[in-house]
Amino acid sequence: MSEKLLQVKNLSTYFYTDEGVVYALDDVSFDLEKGEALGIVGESGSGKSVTALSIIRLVQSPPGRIVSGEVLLQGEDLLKKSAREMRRIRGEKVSMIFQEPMTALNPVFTVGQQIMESILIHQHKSKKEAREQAVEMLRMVGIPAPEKRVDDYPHQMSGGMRQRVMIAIALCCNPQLLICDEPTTALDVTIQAQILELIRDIRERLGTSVILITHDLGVVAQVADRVMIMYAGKAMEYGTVREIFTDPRHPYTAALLRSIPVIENKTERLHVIRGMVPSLSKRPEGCLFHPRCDEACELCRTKRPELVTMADGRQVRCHKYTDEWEGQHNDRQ
Amino acid sequence: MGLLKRKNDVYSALIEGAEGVAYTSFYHDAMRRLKKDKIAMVCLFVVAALIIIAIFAPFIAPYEEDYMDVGNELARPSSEHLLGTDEFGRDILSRIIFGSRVSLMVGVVAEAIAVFIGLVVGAIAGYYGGKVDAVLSRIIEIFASFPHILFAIVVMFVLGTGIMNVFIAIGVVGWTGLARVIRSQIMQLKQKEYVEAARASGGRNMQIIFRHLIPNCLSTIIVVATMNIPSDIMYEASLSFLGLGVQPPQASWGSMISEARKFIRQYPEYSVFPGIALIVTVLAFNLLGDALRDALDPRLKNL
Amino acid sequence: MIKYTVKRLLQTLIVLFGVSLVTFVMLNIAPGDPVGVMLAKRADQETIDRVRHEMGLDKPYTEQFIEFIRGAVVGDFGDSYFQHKPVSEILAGAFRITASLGVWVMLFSIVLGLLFGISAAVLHGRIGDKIIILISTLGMVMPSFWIAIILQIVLGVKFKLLPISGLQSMSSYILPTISLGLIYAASIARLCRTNMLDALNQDYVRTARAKGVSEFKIVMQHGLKNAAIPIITYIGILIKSILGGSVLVETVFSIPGLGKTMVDAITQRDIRLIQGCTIYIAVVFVVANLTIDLLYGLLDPRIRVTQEG
Repeated sequence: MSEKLLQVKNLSTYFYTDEGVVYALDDVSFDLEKGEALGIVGESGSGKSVTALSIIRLVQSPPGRIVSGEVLLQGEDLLKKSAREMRRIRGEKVSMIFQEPMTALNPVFTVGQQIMESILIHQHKSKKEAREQAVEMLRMVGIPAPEKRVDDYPHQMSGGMRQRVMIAIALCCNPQLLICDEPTTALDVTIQAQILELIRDIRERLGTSVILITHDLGVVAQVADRVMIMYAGKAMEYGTVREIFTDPRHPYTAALLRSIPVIENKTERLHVIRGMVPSLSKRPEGCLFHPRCDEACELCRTKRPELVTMADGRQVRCHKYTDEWEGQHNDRQ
Repeated sequence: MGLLKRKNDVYSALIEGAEGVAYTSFYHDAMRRLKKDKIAMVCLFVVAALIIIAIFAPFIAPYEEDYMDVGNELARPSSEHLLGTDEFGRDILSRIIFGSRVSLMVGVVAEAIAVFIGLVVGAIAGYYGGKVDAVLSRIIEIFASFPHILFAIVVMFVLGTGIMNVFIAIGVVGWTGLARVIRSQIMQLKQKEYVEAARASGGRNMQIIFRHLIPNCLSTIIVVATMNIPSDIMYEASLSFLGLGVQPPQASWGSMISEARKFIRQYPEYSVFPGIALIVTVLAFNLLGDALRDALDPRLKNL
Repeated sequence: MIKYTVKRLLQTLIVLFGVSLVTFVMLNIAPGDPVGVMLAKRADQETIDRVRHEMGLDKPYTEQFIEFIRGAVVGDFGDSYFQHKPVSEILAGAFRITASLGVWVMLFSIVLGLLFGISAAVLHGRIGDKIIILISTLGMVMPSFWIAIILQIVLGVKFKLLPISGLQSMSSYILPTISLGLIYAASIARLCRTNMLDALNQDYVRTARAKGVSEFKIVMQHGLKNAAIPIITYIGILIKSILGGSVLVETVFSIPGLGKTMVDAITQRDIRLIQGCTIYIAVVFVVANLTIDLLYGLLDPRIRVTQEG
């Protein structure tokens, strides 16, 4: 279990637009063990989707460009692969499912054709075999009467069904890594739970590693082992699901947790993080979160915090846990 | 360019006075977007120049429209006749300059006729819906089910040649597109609250159509009309080319090309010049129409 | 689907009836005395009366109209007054010529247009794309009759490569095809480029990339199939435009197709022939439209459902 499947090191992706450089992803590192599930959490605009697209090198270019870093899949740097090699990896070793099941499937092909396309690219199979496998995949992701539905067009299916089809496409070549970009955001709550259950089930049965990107800490709690909290293109905190939920260290993580509705607390008003994610091209001085942070002080306004590794191994990007902070607050008292 | 800019400001100031803030910002934004569009500004300049040339043709053209330099027929370009002369010794440049009058007038008058018909039919079909709409929609379809140029030819045959009839023929042929767009827009608009309110407070149907609905379609009308002008100009040129439009000695680019056709061996360049005038004009209006559409009403993109 | 087809067929019939009515009114009633118009100043009153009687124009309008419709249904438009031949016969011959010109024009413009359109979409934002945009923008505003004359001058007169008029051999079709086809090729190129770019920006293309589909396949399968619908709609419009455009190009190149027949009939004031031409062209066009509409359903699965529903 301790074998590293994926290591992302100091990955930065910038978008060069007319309005200036957008630092969508800035010096982010994390790794993923075989069979592990990592949750990447952040508000919209925090760079979490760009992380996913950067890993499989599908960042829209121009204007986007991966400017530095390494993405090691079983020790091989994906950023150094040729376009052709990369195409062999996509869909076979690393698959991705997207947020919008409504638009992520091509409306003019049947779902069967779209599953078969992937099989035919990566495996030496005849059309007939590919079709049989497509039916099997549909059965596996829990679509009833797959022999019939295989010839359906996407518009004949519900959102949840389409997301199941997306998962079938992603899994048909038995990838080692499945990246799910907001897989449940566009779905009804009950369907959400089913899809998450499916992802968890797949992970257990096939041993696929999963990166789950979401803005919803609740979703992460159901599927992931570890969590990376992102804000404005930077990783703010790492930890296991348990650590993050019981002992959030970064003020942003804490605020995110407080914004989850708790049913027992009927009287207390839902906490809302004031302000908005800063424009990634005009980032504030100092800590990127300080304009919205209740605990921000002078240090936060002027100096950009580094990632701090604490005594228990947790990693947080906040001045609160540095000596400087101690010094400043002692001065004030 | 400074003059144009001032004109725009005056224009938006006028709208501001009449319609209040919301309207202003819409047209203001559109104008700002338009001003940023370099191609559109060049086209606007070309169109303005064409209008000036057409109005002041007698002062700009070196010769009269029908002055014949006898003994100097089909002459090559020279300092005397910059673009040479035609088979009657008439100065080609002067005739091209005078020809701009016909083309621009077609753009204005024929399109005005088309807008009028299209607006009335489209508004009535869209507003009343039901059976009225079914009948009018079929009528629109009947008029649209015919290649425009052929339809115009038949109308010209019935009416006889002459510039007024050219206007009518092109206007009668070209209204269906606008009628369709207006119909669907009015259908959407009439469900809006303020129309319901006007109706509930006892507004008469015609009053609602003209006071509330049509003003809201204004940008669409401007865009569609501008986009139709180049094809109107082209239809006139085609009709005149076939000898069914503007009659000699009045100059029209289409009929000039038609005459030049007889002399492709003696003086091939003759046919080139009126064609270039036609292309530049149509191109300028075309690009201007696209730019106006993008600025005012991008929904019309699929037209 | 059947219900939709029947509904469209009925609508088509109504439109055709309307076209006939409009044509009839315009040609027989509006000008006052059609024979007077036809013979103009070429005949005395006695001849006019005789011709009126021969052509059945002294009967009441309603009776004339019924007869006209009855004839039109079986394809009988009477005899051409000046050519002394049945109008239907003249039209059948002319139609064959225009149809073959039309097929050439469509092939030429679709092939050229798709080629340029796809290239521009693939080269999006690069210099190749810009050159194609420039050429196609110019191509769209050049009048076909002018291109025709320029081609005649350059290829016919200067280099004597191709015949510049008449229909002697297959090579006679080349210049007319180019002159008429350039505009449509330019329009198809622009339409194809826009819709391809639109399709290539969709989420499903990202999905395809995530599957490891090659760029070539993405363009040719995922892009083109989604861009096909507006292009096919345009091809419907193309049929109408070619019918219209053939008038000009056939006149320039003296090709005895439908368009030239129509113009000649108008110059000669041959009312029966004009009437026949008008109805004939309307039928061709309306039927083409109907076919395209019904073909849609086969192409776009989303429309198929709406039609069934």
